[in-house]
Amino acid sequence: MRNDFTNKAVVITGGTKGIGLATGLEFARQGAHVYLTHRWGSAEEGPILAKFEEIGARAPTIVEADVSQDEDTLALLELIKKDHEMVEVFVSNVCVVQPANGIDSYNKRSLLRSLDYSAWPFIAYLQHMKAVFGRLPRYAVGVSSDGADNYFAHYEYVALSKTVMETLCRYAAYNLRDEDIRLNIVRSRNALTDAVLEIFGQDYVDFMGKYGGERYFMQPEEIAKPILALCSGMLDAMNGQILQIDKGMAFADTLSQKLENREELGL
Amino acid sequence: MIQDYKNKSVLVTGGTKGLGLAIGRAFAAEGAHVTLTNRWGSADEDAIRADFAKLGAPEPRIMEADASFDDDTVALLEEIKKTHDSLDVFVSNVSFAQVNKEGLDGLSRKYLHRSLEYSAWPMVGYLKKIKEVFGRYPRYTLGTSCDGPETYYPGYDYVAVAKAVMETYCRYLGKHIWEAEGGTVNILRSRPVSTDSLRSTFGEDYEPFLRKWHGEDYFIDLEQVGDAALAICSGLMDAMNGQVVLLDKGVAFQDNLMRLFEQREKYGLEP
Repeated sequence: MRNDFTNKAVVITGGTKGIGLATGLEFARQGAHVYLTHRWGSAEEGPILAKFEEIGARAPTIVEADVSQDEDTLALLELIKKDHEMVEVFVSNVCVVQPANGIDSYNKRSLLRSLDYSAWPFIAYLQHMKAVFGRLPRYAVGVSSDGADNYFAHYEYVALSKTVMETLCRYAAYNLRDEDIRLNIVRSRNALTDAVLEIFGQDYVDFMGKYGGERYFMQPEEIAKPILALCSGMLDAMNGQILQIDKGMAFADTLSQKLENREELGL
Repeated sequence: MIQDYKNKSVLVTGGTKGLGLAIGRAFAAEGAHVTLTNRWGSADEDAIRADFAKLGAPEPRIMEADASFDDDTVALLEEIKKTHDSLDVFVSNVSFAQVNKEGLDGLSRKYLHRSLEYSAWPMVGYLKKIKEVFGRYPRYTLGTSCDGPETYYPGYDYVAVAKAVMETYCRYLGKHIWEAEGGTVNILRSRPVSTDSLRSTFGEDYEPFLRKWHGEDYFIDLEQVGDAALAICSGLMDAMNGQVVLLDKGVAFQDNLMRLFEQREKYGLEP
C-alpha cells in the first residue's frame, strides 16, 4: 500500500451486503472511515458492525440513501462533511434492476429505471461530491459485471446498466484528465452473494457448482481486494480501464471446455 | 501488500534496462531477491547494483541469458536454485523484434519467426523450464506488453504480432496453470515509456512530437509500471487471471483526431 487510509472517508453505495460490504471491510482494515449506504431498510446494523469489530476496524457509518434521489445523496455528503474535508474513495456498487423475460417483457420504463439506479449514480455522486466538497474524490471505482459480453439469463437490464456505467467511466476519465482523480471499473461475475441468490435462485447455484466447479463462483473478498488495489497508490497510472476479475473463468466457460471434462462432469 | 517478498525469488527477463529494471526495482524494494537477465552485454552492472543498494534492496543477480536459447534458460534457473527452492514471480519482459520501415514489402517470414522467438515464445519457454527445474510454476507470471495489437504504431508490425501471440498464450496458460497449481498469468500492457528501446524503435523525433501534441501525460513513468506490476503480484489481485490490463492514464481511449479537433485552439491547429 502506498496510500495511508487512516481516517480517510470512503463511500460505498449498496455497502451493507455482498461485494459492497466486503469492500468496506477492506478499506476499514486500512483505517478508513467507511460510509455504507443502503436503500431498502434491509440492513441489520448489528451483524455488520460486528464484522468490523471482529477485524479491529473502525465502525462504519451506515446510512440509508436512495442512489436515485439527489436529496438523499446530498444529505449523505453533508453528513460526511461534518467529519471530513473530502471523500477519498467513491465505490459505486448499487445495482437495482428489473428482471427481463424475453423480448415481450422489454420496456422503456424498465430500461430507464435500471439506468437511474445502476448506471447514473456513478456520475451523479461525483457531481454532488464536487459541489459539496469543492473537489472530486481521488479514486472512483464502479462495480460491474461482464453481462454485456456474455449471456446470463434474464440479465438484460444489469448488462445494459453496467455497459452504460463503463462507457460513462471512460468518458469521465477523459473529461477529468486534469484533475486528481482516477476512474476505473472492476468487472466480475457470479459473486456468491445474496443478490445472485435473489436473481437466479438456489437451483442455479447448485447447478453451476456441479458443472462449473468451485472456480465458477467468486467470493466477495476476491473482488473487494482488487478495488482496494486500484486505490492503493500502486495503480495510479491506470485510468478509464475495465478490469475483469474472474480467475480466468469467462475465457474458459465454454461448451468445448465441458467436452474436455465430460467424463468427470458426467455429461 | 499482502504478500511478503522478503527473500522471495523474482526473475525478470530483459531486466537491466527500462521497464524490466523498473519492475525489478519495485520487487527489490520489497526485499525480494531479484534476478535480472540481459542479452546484449549492454548492462551497466555497477550502476544497477549501486541503485539497488541505495534503495536498501538486496543485491540483484545479473545474468546474461538469451531468452531464445533453452540452454541459457536452464543455466540461469539452476543458478537461482542454488539459493531458492522456488521461483515466486516470473516477469517475461524481453522483447526484441524487427522494426518494419517498408510497409507490406518489409514483412518477411524470417523476421516474423525471429520476433516470435524473442518476444512471444520465451514466456512459454521459461515457464516450461521453470516447472522442470523447480517442480512447479511460479505463483505469479506477468508478461509485459503494449497496446500495439489494437493501436497503430509506425513500424510496429512485428512487435504487435509478437505481443498478440504472447497475450493469447497468457489466456491459455492462465487456465492451465490455475487448474494445475492455482497460479495466475496476466499481462501488463503499458503505453509508451521514455526508454532507450522507444528511441531505437521510433527514432529521436517521436518523443518530442508526442509531448508537443499530447502533453506530458502521453508517457508512463517507469516507476508507475513497476508499482503496477507489484500490485498485480501483491496478493490483492489474486483472483485476476488470464487478463490483459492496460496502464496508460486513459490516453489510448482519447488518442485520436477528435481530441485534437476539440483542443484545436490550444494547439493552434487551423480547421
